Amino acid sequence: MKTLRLTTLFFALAYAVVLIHYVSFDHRGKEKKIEESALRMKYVEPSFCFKETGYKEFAYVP
Amino acid sequence: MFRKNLIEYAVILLFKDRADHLFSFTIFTFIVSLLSAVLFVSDAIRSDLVDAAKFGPDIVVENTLAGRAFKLNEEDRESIADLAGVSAVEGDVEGYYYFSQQRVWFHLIADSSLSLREMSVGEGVKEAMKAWHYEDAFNFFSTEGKITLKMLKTESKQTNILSNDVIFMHPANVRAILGFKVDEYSKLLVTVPNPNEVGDITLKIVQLLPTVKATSKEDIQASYRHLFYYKGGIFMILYWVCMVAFLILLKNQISLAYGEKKKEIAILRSIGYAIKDIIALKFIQNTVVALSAFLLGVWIAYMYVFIFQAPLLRAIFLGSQLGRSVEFTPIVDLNLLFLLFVFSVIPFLAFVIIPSWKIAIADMSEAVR
Repeated sequence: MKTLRLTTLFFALAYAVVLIHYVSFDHRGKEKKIEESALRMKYVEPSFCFKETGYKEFAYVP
Repeated sequence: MFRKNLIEYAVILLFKDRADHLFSFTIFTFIVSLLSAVLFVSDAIRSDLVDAAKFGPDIVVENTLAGRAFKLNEEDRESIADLAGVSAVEGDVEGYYYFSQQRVWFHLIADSSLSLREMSVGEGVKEAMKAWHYEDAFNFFSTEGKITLKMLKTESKQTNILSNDVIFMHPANVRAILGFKVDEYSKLLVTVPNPNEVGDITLKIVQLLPTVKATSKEDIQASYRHLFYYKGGIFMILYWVCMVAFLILLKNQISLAYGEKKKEIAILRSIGYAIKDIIALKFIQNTVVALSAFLLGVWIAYMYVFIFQAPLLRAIFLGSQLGRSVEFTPIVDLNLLFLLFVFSVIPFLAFVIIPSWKIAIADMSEAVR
């Protein structure tokens, strides 16, 4: 029973760390920043990496 | 439910067979960590993009010519604005500028709040420019000559997912660099006050201007929800790794009920243990292993993704071109975690309890022999 109690205590502490991190993360602040950026960009596109081959074919023809 | 001494005996047996259980525990933890980490990273990216798309226009209109992006003009804008149900159509100028020294494309976006001599850049752009010693200003070369813009500020790290390759500048500068005239646009942003009319108006726009591509806000959000192609490429490899690891785990689980263990079950039966006691014993032992491995796996995945920002795995989702830091928003999808729990823990338990039950109901004399 002692082993089980210790295991439970370990997970309770580990998940307390997770909970503290989750709660302390500034979700609202990040949402606000994303909102500001999205409003400025008007049309959002993910910016995972710089466009390379895909956009070599992208051209505005005069 | 279970007697205290039965639980204690199960824990003692767990320690006795620790090598076998440790193997199951390690494999199970690895599978759960890997799958949870993939789940956390994709959910975090998806949630940011879907949130950002909420603020976009109701319909985005882009033109094509011979299958490539092409300009839209004032006439197009007016003809869409005349459609019933459309309250406003805004012409937007944006596009890509090739920075040949670094061989990357910068995404130029118009922002009228900036002055003619200034620009605001994303983190990735700043790094790419810095590599070529453009620290305060940058020279854009266009058909009209050189345009030098001062770097006013860098966009927040928190919005890297949207602004990493972006340069915000005055609309006149975007036009000059990309070669757009005053009445030409790269996109038309349509506002439709009645959400029920968006679908109809999207169709009307395509009928009116057959070469355009009109995308509704819902379609954009849906495309972000299905951003990652889980059925192919690197994800398929990850799933195969998990699947093979899980099969090894299940094989190990079955072996926990045969060989020496078969004899052990037979002895317990012969000294008076009931079938339900044997099953309870195996259930307690393996539940402890499965629950601990599952909880540890999810915990490791959370720490790896949201505290250490998923080194290595991040490159699979975001590309490895940039050594930038993307801050993942902690999003935990409990439904998917529950699904993962059901599809991992139940087979794990079943693959040891069912063989143990079969042995427990068989002829004991044969099992002991």
